[in-house]
Amino acid sequence: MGLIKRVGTKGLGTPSADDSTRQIPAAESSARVTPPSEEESTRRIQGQPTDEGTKQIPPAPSRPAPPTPAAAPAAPAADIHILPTGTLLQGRYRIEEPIGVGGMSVVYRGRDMRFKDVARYCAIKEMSQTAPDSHTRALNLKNFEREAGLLATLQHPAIPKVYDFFEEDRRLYLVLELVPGKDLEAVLEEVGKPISEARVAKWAIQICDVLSYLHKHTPEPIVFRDMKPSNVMVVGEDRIVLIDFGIARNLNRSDRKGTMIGTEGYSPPEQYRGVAEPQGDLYALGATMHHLLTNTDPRLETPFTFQERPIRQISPDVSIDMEMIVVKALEYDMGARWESADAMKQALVAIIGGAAVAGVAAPPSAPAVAKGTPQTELIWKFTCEDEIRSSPAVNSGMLFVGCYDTNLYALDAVRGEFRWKYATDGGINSSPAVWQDYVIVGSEDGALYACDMRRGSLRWTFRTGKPIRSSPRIDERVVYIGSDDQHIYAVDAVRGAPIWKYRTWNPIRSSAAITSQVIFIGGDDGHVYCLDVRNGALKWKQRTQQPVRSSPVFHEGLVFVGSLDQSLYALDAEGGWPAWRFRTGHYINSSPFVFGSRVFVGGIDGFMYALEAKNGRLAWKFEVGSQITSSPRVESGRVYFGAVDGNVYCLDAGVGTLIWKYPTNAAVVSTPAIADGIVYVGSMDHSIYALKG
Amino acid sequence: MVHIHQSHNQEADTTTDAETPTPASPEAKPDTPTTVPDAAVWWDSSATDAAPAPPPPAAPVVAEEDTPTAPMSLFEIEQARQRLASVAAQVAAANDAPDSGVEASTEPLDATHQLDINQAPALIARRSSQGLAAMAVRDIGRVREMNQDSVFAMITTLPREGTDLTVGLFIVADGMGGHQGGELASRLAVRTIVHQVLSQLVLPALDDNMNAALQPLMISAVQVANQTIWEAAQSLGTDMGTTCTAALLVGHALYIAHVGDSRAYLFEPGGLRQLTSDHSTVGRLIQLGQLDPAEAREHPLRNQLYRTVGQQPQVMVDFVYQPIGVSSHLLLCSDGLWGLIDTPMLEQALKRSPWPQDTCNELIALANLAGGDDNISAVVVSLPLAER
Repeated sequence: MGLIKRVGTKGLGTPSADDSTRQIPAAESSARVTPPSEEESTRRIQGQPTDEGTKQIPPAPSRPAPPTPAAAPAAPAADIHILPTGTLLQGRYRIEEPIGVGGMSVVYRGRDMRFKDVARYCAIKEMSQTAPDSHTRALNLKNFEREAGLLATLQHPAIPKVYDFFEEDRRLYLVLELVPGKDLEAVLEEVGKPISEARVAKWAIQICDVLSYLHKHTPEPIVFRDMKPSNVMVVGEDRIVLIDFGIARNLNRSDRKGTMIGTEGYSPPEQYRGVAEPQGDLYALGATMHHLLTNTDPRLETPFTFQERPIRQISPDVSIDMEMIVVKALEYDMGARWESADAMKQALVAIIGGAAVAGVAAPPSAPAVAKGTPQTELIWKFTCEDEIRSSPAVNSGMLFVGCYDTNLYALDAVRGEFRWKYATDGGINSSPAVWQDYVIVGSEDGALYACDMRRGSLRWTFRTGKPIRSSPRIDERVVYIGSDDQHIYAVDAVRGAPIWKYRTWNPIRSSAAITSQVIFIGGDDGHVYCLDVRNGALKWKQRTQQPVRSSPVFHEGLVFVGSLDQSLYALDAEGGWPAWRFRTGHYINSSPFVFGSRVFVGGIDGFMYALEAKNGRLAWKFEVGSQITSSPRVESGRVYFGAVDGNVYCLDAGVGTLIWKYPTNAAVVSTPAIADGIVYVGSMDHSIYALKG
Repeated sequence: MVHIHQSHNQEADTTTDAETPTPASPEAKPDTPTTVPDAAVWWDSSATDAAPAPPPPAAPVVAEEDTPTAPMSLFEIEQARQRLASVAAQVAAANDAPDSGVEASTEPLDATHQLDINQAPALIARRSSQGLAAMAVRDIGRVREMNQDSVFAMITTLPREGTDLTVGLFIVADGMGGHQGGELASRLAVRTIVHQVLSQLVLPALDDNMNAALQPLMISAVQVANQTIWEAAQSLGTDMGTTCTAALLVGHALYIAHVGDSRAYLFEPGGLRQLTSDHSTVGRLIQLGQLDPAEAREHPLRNQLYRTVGQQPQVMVDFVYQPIGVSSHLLLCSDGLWGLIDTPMLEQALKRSPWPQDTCNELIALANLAGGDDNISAVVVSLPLAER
């Protein structure tokens, strides 16, 4: 049973019988109900960091949204006793004004009246006892005494000096050097954008320096335990002073199972297991640097997600070296972090020294292309008599492709040798499909042709009323094809006899996706149709804003399809309603392709997109700079597609970086086919290419 | 009606086809009056052997079954259905002479005939331990004086051109904040989300005007709830908030929007799987392998959430899309349940009764027996059989 109860728990309370929502009487006699020890619960969002230490009062109430929830109704603030200005303590320290209120202390700006002729100011930290129970009070007191004792023994320019320590009116006071300046949180707020790498490095080096001093403290190392921007003051010319040693403590190695102390967002994972080692301070410093370099507050992000927000993605100007230093500091595993503050400092010093050189000399990521291109090998090329818009199909060592010269070509896939061709009465836009030993393709002459795969002899034809630009899709002996005559046909693959047809109100240029029950196909009327495979009955149709020429794909209950309304849709396969849609900058003619958990699609806007199939989130996009109507194919972690700039592209499917590109002499709108590691694709330069990368 | 007849014809024809090895010959004219086909016809895997279509895996034992209405497994039904579909296509092809031109029906067919007549005998005989039903129950527990949880369950059908669609909406919200704030927040969350789904999905679907995308719809529903609660909290001067796990079932897929540490589980054949992740620092550390789940049960910060609905002006909402496949149940619950009952016990309870109501009551009883130190809520959904 937990120590912590939620907000709103009123206490034990016996189960009230009249509560209508109560379903089952708890008849058991067990009275061992745990008392809710802390009424005000931890179960609230920590918009306001509940640090134990001093929090500088913000100079102006201009904070952004986050901390408001706790701030508005902040009950505790009212309870904290604040000394009025002019109060004299010990007959010597005059209270000027409060400058910070923390979880259990108030810090005042004070004036030491012993120096009568000069205004000598100091910081006076007062222990505020708000805890209701004596145990907590005693604990607070102990902490306070420890801080005083500890600080008094330390001597470092980045640690405030202790002047005095006394008790008055049952309150405890610590008189410290007044550090005139702003904390890093305030600095960041003022700047309002990521802070420059050089400046952050300068601060971080000094912080490493003081952490190193603390960690080397004898007899036992001191772990600061609460490194974060608001605990670091910047004085004058970027000099650093650590404030708030409220929770730093002598590292007592037997006391591992302590309670979590620190600030969520900055504290290392092991601190949640009660472990506090010097490496924890390095993690928190890494978190602090990440915050400063990116201006993203870790307290407002999902905890432990620094890796998901790489620094250079947010602030591209930051050097790789700097990012690596922070990444290493932020390792979850203590052993994988910098082994000491000194080691981290040295790495930082190296950057500052080499910054000028590195910044100018090394704009990386160019070599990928340079080394990629020569590796792409042309295995063969076969030239036809007109443009190739059709996409090749490879089957049983043969390649089939349609050409605008009216022929359906059959080539040897390995050597690119001509096997046969079949002449139709029109150009061929449609891409051939192979089923058993039939090759089936549509033609501008309006007919669907089925040829013998080996010899190229005609098996049957099926005539529609207008050109066929859709490509046949075959399943269970049925060919599904759309025609410009506005119909979707199901045709017997063996005999070419019609089984059913479905009428729409515009040409069908999209090709079908087939499941065991239904087909999905797009229409120029802007609809995506879902038809029963058995009889062509309409299950649903879903409207997009513009014609759908992209061909749908079905994957795990979703139908992916592009529309000329510039969106890629994921439609619920059963209802047809969009599950999500992703808007691009121009038409989508390209047909999506699903591989693994991602859907890939090319856009007329010149980008190849990789989206998470389940939610449409962009994984990456790659800019080609010219229209992509070719559809991507993914194999062995690589994405292949053509573009109107005449290149065939090969990208890394995981991250979307270019592996190679191969130039042809005209636009590539054909979709590649991949077999045995060879990429086959047609080009408008009349040739079909077999490439190996 | 016409369509039904057609399929009978095709059915009858299958047998003839099986006997005549040359399917091209159009001699077998199916003018015999149709009756509901004998189940044996489509039981018999040999019926399709003559066709070159994909050979179905042989099921000889089944073929010998003499009662046509013997219970079938889902798998068998599906197999039989697929066999039929391909046979029907072939037969239809055989009926039309290759050169008879395009005479296929061009009239829009009515696809609302949802079940193939050939499945009827099996469907009549089938008795399932699962089928779409839902129950939502919340209980105050044994320690609290107020129930700050809210639950919601709704199942409906919505019209579509051919097939009407089953849609369900299930919500668990676990409120927090003193002075009845928690109750108010969780209720506001449920109310807002239901309003959103009704106005943006249910009503437009009835008007055949549904163009909103489901994922943004669910996410924005929770965001609107966040806004509503935030504004109410501001005006009341409280810091109330709530968790919220809302699952929309559309046919056989789930669209889940989630904030906080209430959970959605899917009961798959392999066991219960948590679909959502808890928005607590402790939960996150477990996810990263930095904290042991056993340690976490006692962790002082285990209830501390880093994301809630209503406690900040904006909220980031997790979204999960999940086809249900052959899963049997969906369970939504607050931490008053999952914090006390471990997964094997949840699984047992889900298996014990086909009735969601029984299951809900059992789960709540178990949580109370384990201490009932928090409000307990559970939404149990027995999922539709995977017929597709």
